[in-house]
Amino acid sequence: MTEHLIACHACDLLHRVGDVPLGGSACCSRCGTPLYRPKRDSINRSLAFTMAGVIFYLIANTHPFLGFQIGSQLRETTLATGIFQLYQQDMFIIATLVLFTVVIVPAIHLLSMLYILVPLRAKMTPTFLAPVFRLYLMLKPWGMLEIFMLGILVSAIKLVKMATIIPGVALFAFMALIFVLSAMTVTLDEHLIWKKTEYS
Amino acid sequence: MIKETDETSPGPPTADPIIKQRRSLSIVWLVPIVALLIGGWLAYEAITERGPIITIKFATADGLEAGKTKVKYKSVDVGVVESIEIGENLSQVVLRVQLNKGAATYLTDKTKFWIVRARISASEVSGLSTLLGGAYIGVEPSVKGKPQRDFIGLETVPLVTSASKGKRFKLVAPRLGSLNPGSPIYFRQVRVGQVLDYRLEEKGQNVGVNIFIESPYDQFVRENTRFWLASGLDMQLTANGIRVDTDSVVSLMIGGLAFGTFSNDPQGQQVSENMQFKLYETHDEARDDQYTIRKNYYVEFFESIRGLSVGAPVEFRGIQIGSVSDIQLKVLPNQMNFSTMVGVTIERERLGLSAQVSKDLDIHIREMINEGLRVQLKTGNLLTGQLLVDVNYYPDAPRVDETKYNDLLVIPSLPSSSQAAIDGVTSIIKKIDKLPIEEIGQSLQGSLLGIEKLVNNPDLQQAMQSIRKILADVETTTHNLNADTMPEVTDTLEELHNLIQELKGWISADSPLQEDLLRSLQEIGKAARSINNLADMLDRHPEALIQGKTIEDQ
Repeated sequence: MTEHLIACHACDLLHRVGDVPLGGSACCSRCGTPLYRPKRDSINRSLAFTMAGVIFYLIANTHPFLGFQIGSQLRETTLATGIFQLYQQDMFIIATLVLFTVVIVPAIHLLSMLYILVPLRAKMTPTFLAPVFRLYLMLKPWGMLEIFMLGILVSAIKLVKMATIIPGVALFAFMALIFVLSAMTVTLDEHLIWKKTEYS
Repeated sequence: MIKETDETSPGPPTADPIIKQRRSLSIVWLVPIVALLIGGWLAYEAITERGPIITIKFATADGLEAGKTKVKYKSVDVGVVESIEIGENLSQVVLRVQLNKGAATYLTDKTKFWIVRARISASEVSGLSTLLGGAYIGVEPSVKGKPQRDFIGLETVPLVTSASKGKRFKLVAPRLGSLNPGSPIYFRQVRVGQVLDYRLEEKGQNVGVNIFIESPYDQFVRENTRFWLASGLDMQLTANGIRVDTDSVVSLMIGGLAFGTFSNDPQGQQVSENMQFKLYETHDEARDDQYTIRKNYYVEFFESIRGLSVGAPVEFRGIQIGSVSDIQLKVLPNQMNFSTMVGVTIERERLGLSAQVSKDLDIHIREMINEGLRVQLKTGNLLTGQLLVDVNYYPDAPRVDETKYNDLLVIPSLPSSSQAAIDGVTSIIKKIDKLPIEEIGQSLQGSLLGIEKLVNNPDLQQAMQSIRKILADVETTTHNLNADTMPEVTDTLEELHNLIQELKGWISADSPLQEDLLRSLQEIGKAARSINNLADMLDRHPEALIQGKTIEDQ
């Protein structure tokens, strides 16, 4: 019913794309680059994953992340204390980087998604949909939870010989958060969001 | 692409269907629901696992760290220190402690908190784990008492917690000795408890010592139990020799207590907790104190009592029945001389007398004196020369009149055995003195002179010479006898020998003589038989002698 124009990312050929059946995809007629794939129940699914993500994010940030036990001395860390420790050890840049990529960016992701998806699901259009969604897309490459997770795993494996590592609740919440955020990204139909802006 | 239908085109009349949007939630919503459940459970746990927050005041927070220092009961974490602040008047620190769930039940005014740090004392080494893991706060929960949230921590680790079973007792002592909190308490040299603490009584006259006896040893503390200091080394030089006492090497170093029951009746009543006992200085003092009924007497001596001291034993046939309590000099009014009055205390329970008899002990002692009861000094120890007072019966002792000194009955004494020996030797010497030694000497000398005369007499010498001559004659006679007579005797003997040899040859079994003799005898036998036959025949046929033999008879 609705048609709109999509320029091919690769060859810049302008297409007029109408409704694409579910499961199908529209490709560039010249170079074959996929232009658009409709996603089933996108808003609902994304919103569900976003909400799960919010919960996991809160758990990951409030509960102990890892415990190191050497002898009878137990040291437990949360994400926040880990960053604070880095800062105290004069690794200001790394501390900032970790804070930004692991705490702030995911928070913005989740909040912006909530801001966009909750009204859309209620058949309304949020006021600042376009700038918020743009911010979301701009910050998307900066969410580096997976990389942080890998770093944690590598250092934990190295420390296993020296100390007993007690994985905390936050660690599992963090893993879940990674999966949920990925799922959220996958199920999000960006075109649909942009389409919604047109009605505003 | 769906072709749009032309509204103008003819066809069957149609109606627009009502399109219902799917209202039901899609499966994807399970994800946030699960997340919510997990989050909710975590939150619920966090809230319910949290116990009460309490404050504890300590003099110092040495070794404590906010957020890390744990509160432990029996090495199990029951809480964590949340913050450490300086108290209002700057004299103490205030800890805010987050306790685990369920702690509220045991937070009462009797609950105690203390800081466990590494502690090394002579009796024990404890809290070594705190060297690595840091200090922690120990707690002794108590469900009895009023609920409380603000506590004042103990500065010292309590030695006994409510978990340890046993009884506490209080001892009252004139001095502390070398006791310390933690000093061991021994019963038959088995360690059964320890000293908890001590403090001076209010007036400073005594020291109160709180002790703890572990179960099941607390049952050995009876009403008649006595406690004494087993501190260090107890060396005594008494009539019984040198005595060295110590209960253990540990108590030698850090002091200790011992207790025991001396009375013959060990089944004294069990005692309740916090009962008060007297603490004796030594084992002996504790033991002797059980003889509470004492009787004092005096003994008069007329000899040196060097080596006898106050406290020396009074023995009856070797068994101690009392001790010397007093030594005085007494002027003998009419002789310008002194005697020694020795006061003796008889612990009459030691005599094993029945109550009735011991009540009228004086009367009985009088009777005994009449029976010959006497007191004598004896050497208790040859090495040290310590004396003891020995009581025994001497039926042969001379009778004495009853006397009193300081209103106390005087038991008559006999000179000591050494004194008696000296007296005996003295009398022997006196007798020797009286012997007429000079006269004996003179007569002895006379006898000797007579003997000398006899020996020097010339007749005796002549007699000796003639004896010598006689002896020489005897010698020559013997010599002749040897030279002349002996060879002849030898020859004769030899001949005799030959003769015997020959005779032997004759009588030997295979000799010719023997054989001849045998044959002759056989012949004689035959002849005899013939004669016999002849005689028979003649007997039957006497006529044969005349008529000759008839053939018929053959």
